[in-house]
Amino acid sequence: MTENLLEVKNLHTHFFTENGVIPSVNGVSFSVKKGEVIGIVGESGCGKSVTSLSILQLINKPGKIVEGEIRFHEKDLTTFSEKEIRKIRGNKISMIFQEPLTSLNPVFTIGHQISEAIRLHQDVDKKEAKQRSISLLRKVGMANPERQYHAFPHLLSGGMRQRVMIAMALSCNPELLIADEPTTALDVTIQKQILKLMKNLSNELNTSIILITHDLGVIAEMVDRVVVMYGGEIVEENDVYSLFENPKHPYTKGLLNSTPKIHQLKEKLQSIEGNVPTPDQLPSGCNFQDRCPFAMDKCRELSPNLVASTDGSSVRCWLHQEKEVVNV
Amino acid sequence: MTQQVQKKQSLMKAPLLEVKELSKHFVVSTNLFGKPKESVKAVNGVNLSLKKGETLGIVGESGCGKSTMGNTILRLIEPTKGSIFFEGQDVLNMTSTQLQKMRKEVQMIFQDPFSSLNPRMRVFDIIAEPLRTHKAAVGKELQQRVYELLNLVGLDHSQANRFPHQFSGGQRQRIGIARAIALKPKLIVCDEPVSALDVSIQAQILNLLLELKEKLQLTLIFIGHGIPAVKYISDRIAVMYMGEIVEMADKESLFANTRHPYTQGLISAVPIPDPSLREVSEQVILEKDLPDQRNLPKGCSFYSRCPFATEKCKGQKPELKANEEGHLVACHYPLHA
Ligand SMILES: Nc1ncnc2c1ncn2[C@@H]1O[C@H](COP(=O)(O)OP(=O)(O)OP(=O)(O)O)[C@@H](O)[C@H]1O
Ligand SMILES: Nc1ncnc2c1ncn2[C@@H]1O[C@H](COP(=O)(O)OP(=O)(O)OP(=O)(O)O)[C@@H](O)[C@H]1O
Ligand code: SF4
Ligand code: SF4
Ligand SMILES: [Mg+2]
Ligand SMILES: [Mg+2]
Repeated sequence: MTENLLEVKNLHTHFFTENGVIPSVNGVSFSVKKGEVIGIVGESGCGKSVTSLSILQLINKPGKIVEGEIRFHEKDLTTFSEKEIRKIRGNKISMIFQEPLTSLNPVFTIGHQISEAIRLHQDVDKKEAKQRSISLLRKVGMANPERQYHAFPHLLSGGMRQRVMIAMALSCNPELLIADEPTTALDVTIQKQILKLMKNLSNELNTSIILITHDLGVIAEMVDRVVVMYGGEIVEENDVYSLFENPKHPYTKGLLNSTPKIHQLKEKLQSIEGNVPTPDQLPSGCNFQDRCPFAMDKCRELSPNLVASTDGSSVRCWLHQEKEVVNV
Repeated sequence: MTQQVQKKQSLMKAPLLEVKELSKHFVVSTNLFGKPKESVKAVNGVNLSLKKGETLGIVGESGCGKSTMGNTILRLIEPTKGSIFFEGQDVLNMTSTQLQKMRKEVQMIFQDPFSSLNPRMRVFDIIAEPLRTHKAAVGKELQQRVYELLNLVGLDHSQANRFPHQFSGGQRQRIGIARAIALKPKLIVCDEPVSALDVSIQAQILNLLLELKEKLQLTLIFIGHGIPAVKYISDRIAVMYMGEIVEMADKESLFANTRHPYTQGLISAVPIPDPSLREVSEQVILEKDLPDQRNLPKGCSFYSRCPFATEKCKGQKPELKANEEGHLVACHYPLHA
C-alpha cells in the first residue's frame, strides 16, 4: 500500500459567534495518497470549505479547530507555528478557490504575482522567476504568455484568471493541490478545459488533488475516491466507480437521483424532500433524519457511526451497520 | 363553421409569443459628437415563436444574450430593432391599458432568490403585492388567495408572516414562484431559476415548475446554464451564440441529431455523472474562449472557434434554416446532414 500523504483525523472545527457555537465540521477523517485525486461533495454549508481551510490552518477567529489532527507527511500541522505553516502553504500544499478575481490582486500584473509566489518559497533571482512564470503560463495553456505576463487580472476572462490561479498554485510543484469549486463560476466549455488541465498536471507531476464541488458530473469525470459530506460529517466514502454504481447512504442515493442527466432519457427526477440544514439546527440522532425516506425510530435517538466495510467503503447510516466491520 | 369557431381555432393555432428580428445593441462608447462608436450586439436578429403550453429552453455560454433576450421580451429593456407579438398583439406598440394587461399575463422568475425579494416585506405581502397592484383581490379573498398560492408552491400558510431571510434558498425561490403565478399568467420567463440552488433543491424546483405548468397551463421560457436541467424541463431548445440563435429544435432531436458544431461542443463539455463513461466523454472540442463581442466577424459568428470553418464561413453569414423535420440550424456545413 502506498503511504498516505495527508491524513485528516477526527477534525472538529467550530465557530464561536455572538449567537452561539456553530459546529461546522464534526469528526471528519479521510486520507489522501500520493498522486490520488479525492473528491469532496455535498450541499451548501455542509463544511467542505471549512474542512479545506482547516487543512491549511486558515481558520481565523471566531473559528477554531477544537479537536483532531492534520497529518502531512506524518507531521501534525495543527501543532505548527505560523512561521512553519507558511513554509508549507503555497509551497508543498497549495489551493485554488472558486472566484479567482478575489484571490488575485488587482493592482499588480499577473506575471508579478506569479513571480512573487515563486520567490517567496524558492531562492531564485527576478529574471529566473520571470522565466519560470512564463513557462508556467504556457503550461496552463495561455496563448502568448510573454505578453500575458504583463496583463492585469481584470482584463482576463474568468477562465483565463482561473488558469493564472492554477499557474500560481503550481509554481512550487506542490505535493497536494486543494481546489475548492475551481470551475463553479465558469461556463461548461471553459470548465472542461480547466479540468483537463488539472488532470494532465496531476498525471504528469503525480500531484495529489482534493477537489471540492457540488457537481456529481465533475466528480465522476475527475476523481479516484469520493467523500460525501452532510451536516458537517462524512456520511459515505468509496471509490468513484462503486459509489456511482452502488451508493449506500440514503443521502448519496438522493443526490444521484436528483441530478438531471443528459445521456439518459427523461425519467422523473427524484428530489430530496425538505431543506438543507444549517449547522446550528442539526437534530439529535442522524443528521439526515428529517429528509430520509427510510428514517426509523432509532435514527431519531442515536447518531450512527461512520462504519468501514471490508469492501473499502464507509457509510454512516443505521441501515448499513453490517457485522463484519471495523470502526473508524 | 361559424365565424366565431373559426376565430377561436385560428387563435389556438396562433403562437402565444412571436419574436421577429429582435435586436438589442448596447452602446459601450461614443465618439466626440455623442454618436455610438462601439456597441455590444447582445441580441442580434432573433426569431422565435412559442406555442401555448410549451416550454422553450435557452442555453449558451455566459454573455451570449440570454437574459437580454428575456428582458426585452418582457419590455424590461427596449429593443433596438424588431418586433414582439403576444397573442397576436404588437407588444412594442401597445396602449397603456393593453400593456398593463400584458404585464399581468407575462411574469418573470429570477436566478437570485436572495436579491429579488424585498427583505423588509413579509412573505404574505410579497405574494399579495401583484394582486393588490392589479386589484385582483381584497380582504378575506386576498388572504385566501395568498394561502392557496403558498400551498401550491409547497409552503405552509403558517410561514406567511416571516421575512425572506428566514427562509432557505429553495424556499425563497418557491416564494418567487408563488408571486409570479399570483395573477394567473400565461407566460413565465424563468431566468436561471435553479442555478443558485443546491442539487437536491434544484430537482424540487424543476419538478414544481413542471407540476405548475400542467396545473395552470403555463407556457415557459427557461433560460439556463445547466444544460441537463434545461433538457429535463424543456420541450424545445434554442442554442444562442453571441446574440444569435444558432440552432433550435425539439430537445430529442437537438441531442440525438445535433447539427451545429457549437451545440456539439457545448454538449460534449457537460460532465456526465457516470464514471464508467469517463473515457467516452473525454474530448474537448471548443478550445478557445469567446471572442470580443464588440467586433463581430462578418461571416459566421462561430468562425473563430469552429473546427470545421472554411473560407466561405469567414465571408458569408449562414442563415437559420430548417430541415424537413423542422430542426433549425445556422451553419453552412451542418452535422448529421
Ligand atoms: N467565519 C464563519 N463564521 C461563522 N460561521 C461560519 C464561518 N465560516 C463558515 N461558517 C459556517 O460553517 C458552515 C460550513 O461552511 P462551509 O463554507 O464549509 O460550507 P461549504 O460546504 O463549503 O458550502 P458551499 O458549497 O456553500 O461553499 C456553514 O454553515 C457556514 O455558515
Ligand atoms: N446594460 C448593459 N450595458 C452594456 N452591455 C450589456 C448590458 N447588459 C448586458 N450587456 C452585455 O450584453 C451581452 C449579453 O448579456 P446577457 O446578460 O444577456 O448574457 P447572458 O447570456 O444572460 O449571460 P449569463 O449566462 O452570464 O447570465 C454581454 O456581453 C453583456 O456584457
Ligand atoms: S441513519 Fe436512519 S435517518 Fe439516517 S440516513 Fe440512515 S436510515 Fe436515514
Ligand atoms: S458556418 Fe462554418 S464556421 Fe460557422 S459553424 Fe458552420 S462550419 Fe463552422
Ligand atoms: Mg465552500
Ligand atoms: Mg443571464
